[in-house]
Amino acid sequence: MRPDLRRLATVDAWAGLAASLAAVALALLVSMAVIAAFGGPPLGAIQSLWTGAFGSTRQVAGTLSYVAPLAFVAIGWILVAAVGRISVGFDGQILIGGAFATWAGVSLDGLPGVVHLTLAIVLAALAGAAWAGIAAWLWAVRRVNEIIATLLLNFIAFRIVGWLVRGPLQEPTGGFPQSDPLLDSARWPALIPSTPLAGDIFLAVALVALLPLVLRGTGFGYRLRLTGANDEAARHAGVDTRRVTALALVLSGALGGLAGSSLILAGQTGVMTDGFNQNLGFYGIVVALLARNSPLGVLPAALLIGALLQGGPYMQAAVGISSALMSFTQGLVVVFVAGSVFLLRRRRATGGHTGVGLAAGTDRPSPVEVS
Amino acid sequence: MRLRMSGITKRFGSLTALSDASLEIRRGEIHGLIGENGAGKTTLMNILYGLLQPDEGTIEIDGRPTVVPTPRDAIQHGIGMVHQHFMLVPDMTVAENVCLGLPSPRPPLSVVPDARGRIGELSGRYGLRVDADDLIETMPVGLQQRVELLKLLYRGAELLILDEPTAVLSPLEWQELAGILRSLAGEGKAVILITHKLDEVLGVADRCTVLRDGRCIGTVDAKQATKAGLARMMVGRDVVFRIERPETQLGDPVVEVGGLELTEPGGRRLLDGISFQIRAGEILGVAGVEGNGQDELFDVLTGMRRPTAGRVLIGGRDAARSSPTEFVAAGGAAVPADRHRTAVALGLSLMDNLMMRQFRDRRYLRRGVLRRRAMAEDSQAMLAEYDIRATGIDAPIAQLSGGNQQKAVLARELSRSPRLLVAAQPTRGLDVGAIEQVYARLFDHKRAGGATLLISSELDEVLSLSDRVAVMVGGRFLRILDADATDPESLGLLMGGEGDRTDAA
Amino acid sequence: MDPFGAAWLATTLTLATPLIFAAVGELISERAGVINIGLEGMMLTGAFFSFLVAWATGSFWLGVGAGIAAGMLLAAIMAVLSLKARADQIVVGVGLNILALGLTSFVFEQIFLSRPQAVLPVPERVAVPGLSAIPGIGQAVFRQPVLVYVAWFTVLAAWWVLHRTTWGLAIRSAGETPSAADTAGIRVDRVRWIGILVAGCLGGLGGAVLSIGQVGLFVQQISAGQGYIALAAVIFGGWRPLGVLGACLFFAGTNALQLQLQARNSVPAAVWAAVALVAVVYAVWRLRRPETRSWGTAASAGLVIALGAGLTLARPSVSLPSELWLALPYVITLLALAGLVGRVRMPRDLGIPYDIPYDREAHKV
Repeated sequence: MRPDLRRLATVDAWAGLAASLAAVALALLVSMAVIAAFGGPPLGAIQSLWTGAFGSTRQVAGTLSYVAPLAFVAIGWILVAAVGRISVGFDGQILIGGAFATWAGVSLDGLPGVVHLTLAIVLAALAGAAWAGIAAWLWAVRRVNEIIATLLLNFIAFRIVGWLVRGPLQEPTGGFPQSDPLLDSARWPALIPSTPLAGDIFLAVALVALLPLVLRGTGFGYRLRLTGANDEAARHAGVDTRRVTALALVLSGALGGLAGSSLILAGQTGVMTDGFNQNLGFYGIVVALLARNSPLGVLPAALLIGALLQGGPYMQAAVGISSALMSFTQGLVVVFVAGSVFLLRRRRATGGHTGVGLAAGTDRPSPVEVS
Repeated sequence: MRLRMSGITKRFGSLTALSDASLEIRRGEIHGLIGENGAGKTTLMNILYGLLQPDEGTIEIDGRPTVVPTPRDAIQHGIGMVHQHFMLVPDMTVAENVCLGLPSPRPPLSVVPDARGRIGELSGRYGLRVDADDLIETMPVGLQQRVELLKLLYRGAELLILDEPTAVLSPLEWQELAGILRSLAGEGKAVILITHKLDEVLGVADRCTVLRDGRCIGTVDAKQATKAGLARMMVGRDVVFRIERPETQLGDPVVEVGGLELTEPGGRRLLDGISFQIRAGEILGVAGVEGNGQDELFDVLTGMRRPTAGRVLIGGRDAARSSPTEFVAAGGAAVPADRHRTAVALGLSLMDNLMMRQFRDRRYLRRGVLRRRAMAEDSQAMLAEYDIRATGIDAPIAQLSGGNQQKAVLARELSRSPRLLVAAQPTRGLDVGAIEQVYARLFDHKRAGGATLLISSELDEVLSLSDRVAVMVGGRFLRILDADATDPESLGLLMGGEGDRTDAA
Repeated sequence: MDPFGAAWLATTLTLATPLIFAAVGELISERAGVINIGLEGMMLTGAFFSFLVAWATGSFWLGVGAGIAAGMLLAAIMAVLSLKARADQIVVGVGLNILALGLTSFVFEQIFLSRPQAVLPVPERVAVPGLSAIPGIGQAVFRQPVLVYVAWFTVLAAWWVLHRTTWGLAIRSAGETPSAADTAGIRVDRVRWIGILVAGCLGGLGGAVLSIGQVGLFVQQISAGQGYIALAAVIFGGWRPLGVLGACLFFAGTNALQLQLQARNSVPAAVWAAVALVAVVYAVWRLRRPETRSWGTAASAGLVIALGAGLTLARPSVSLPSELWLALPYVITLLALAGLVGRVRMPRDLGIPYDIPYDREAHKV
């Protein structure tokens, strides 16, 4: 049902890179035009955006701190795309995963740091996996469209966290919708003191490096790619495509949970608040699309999007342009990236005998059948 | 109307589908357009109907030169076509389907209510027995075909083209349709029947034109023609290369199939009691028009579908209820007919495709991790041995030509030294050079003692390659003959549903 | 029958209105073969821009018009990308939602953050003569703002278009068997364009109802997933106008119920009885036909009925925290979709782009 996602990945690499960069540039240009329309300084806004993202060590650390959660989500998206499907449930998995990380982080007293942190992370991943598992089960057994299912689960997760921070996990005074502070033993150590940048970025880099190894070097990855490339051929090869797909969805949920654990355990505030996911579940998808579903591009793309997110509030403070514009910019990026697939395909089509009517891969074209 | 098509030539890339073909149709005539699969019949009619444009040639309707750029123009000229795959919307009624695309006198109100009356009238006049308010999806296929006819008649067609109309009909339904066609012809309408079923067309046509390899061989009077004569015109061809079938010692039976049945939930028998044996070193060919159960036979044997009854033994192992993995483990190999749907994963590399069926083997997969070096070595060896032209084992398989993709599939399947190879339409879509190489591989397998089940709708191929040939009609093996004891014409007759006959030439 | 009283009915009708608009629009689009994940974004932009224009001009109807225009603009982008550029419909939809969120929040903050909260007057209600005089429910149900009546009329219009016009034939064939439509001379992509624009128009209208039509203000993310619930309503309603109306009413009804229950200490007995009743209806519907009969269905339905009946009699004093009540509409939607399992018929070619055979494309037909 989604041939175009695969086209995203098989397109010539350099052309793809150029298209992604062009999409970002175009998105920024349009955003600048909008800024000007509202009486703001377009160049000045971009400048303050840059300063806010890279202006000082602290700012750079802030930008980098976004990379981990974004990268986790992007990897999850790529996994699901590899098997030929789409998941948009990352926000929900972030929320549920983060909730479990919070519980582990505030309750389990007296554990050594490494153990406590690891436990909290693992719990978050498992929780996210289970949350995605609901959608996977609904898809596999009850044939519910997985996109709508994951979207609805996002909203449910949001409400659950809303309840948790006003109820069971609320801080003792009962005055604020947030959790108890996390125990120190459960938190990621900061890489640069008093900055948001923490050790979780190493985990993200490790997983990004692991992804191509899994996809290309394991039996599971092979089955994944087969299923995504041609479901019937995969079944001909003896692969249980339904199980493989469900597994991919669950794994992506684990990654969403990891992203949630990052936001909580590596967060500066040390508490869980209402709506702490800040839509990162969708921004992570933007990262993956910008990277054209390629593991190689995830980290640079995450850096770019992280810069937008970090620089946004600074831009707001400096020139009075609301940081919500950055969401708009990201939406434009997605739109432009999706649209560029068309341009790249056209180029290949005219270059060789790959027009629509000729049956690709035959020496004799099939006579045009109207059916 | 009178129709004349002259000098029609149509090329697709490097292939010439039609070469200086011509056709002449008279008023009130039922005309059979005959030829094998791929002879160019459908292409010629697609040109007439405006779905394709000829590279050379002219069309004259009632003596006037005409151009038909689109089906809409064809309809305006009074030409209508009923395709092999019906162009009907299942969850709409007959009337709605007939009215689809018709402008309304009072837009946007639908014309459907007004059409009902006329539909009923047409249905009665030609004996179509179609009810305007029935839903298409509730109607049997034979009746749906009449709805297609109705669409043409409603739009005032004077020339009706039917593409392989008997493919979906039982003999009784065909008789009814034949009667309808005769009454249409009686009113002065012309009918073109595209078919390769000689028996049926001779029963209803006035004249027949035979196409072969894109050329018009000749036009004959149906009353005077013989089936044998037509068959000879249809299949006789210049021998391009000679296939020498190697003599091999036939060994013990490798495959034993008994009473194989596959019944649909609705009750239709797709496989109706098939039994056969294949010995080591033997090639058993299955000849037949597509749609007579070949796909189902392939699926059942290779583990993609479970039979409802029957026994399958491969190398002594019971393989009746197996999966593709078990089929491979029992020493089976399969080359599916629809390469791109089943055999090849287009988005992946050549190596990925070569390893697809055996990656679970300990040599390639240990504790969940793929051993890529072994995979690469073996893939490279296959590439060399089977002469697969590609930039490397990491080349996207979509870049390979059809011939090379098929070689890859063969490499993958045969390099396991299987006991049984089930190959369906192995040379479809390939050029002469690639075909030669495929045949060479099949013979290597034969010489090595492997058994082969060759399913093909190419008569020449089946005859030249096989030791014995089974003719498949209606989900059964009508006869199993020694290949040396028969010839293309006789096979053609059997394939056309001629029934049980002796091998008279 | 507390809490299922007049107040509940009134709230249900109010909440259903934006859903009905969006769902009917999406119905047309999906029957033509296009999925609009971006419906949520269309509602959001409709909500915001209608508010903006109504505030700026002081005119309610100009605001409604602006909402419709905004929705259609987003839909046009969707159409260009998915039909001309053949981009993936889902990805484009996700992108448009992010874009809409950003745009509306941004413009809202730029213009309104520095100003005191603007509240616009809510439109007046119009009474249905005669019916509004019915004691008890008459005033609650049959005195609604004009747009509510328009919404119900839209359902009727959709049915009429789909089943009584040539447009309807074209739409249905484009989504079901585009090759048949193509051969009949219908321009499939043009039909799909129109379908997407209708979804944008009605989605934007639904959004306008959300903001100026009901509360007279705008808050960020005011649509809160209603676009997705509308998508679910199309599926749950079996892609038929009447079914979609029923689905919208059902979802709105549970939402209205949840609003009432939030404030209470305990779930009233009537609610448990209603749950049992729904389970009975479901069980009958599925167990009647042999092909959908299963022990699983019987067992789970039986369990729910028993629980429901038991709780009705026992009247325990239980309730949920208010946040969890807010999750109820989404949970119910999920359960509704899960309970369907292949009983509904999807337009066969939904979501699949239609490629004209090669030769004719070359001749630009």
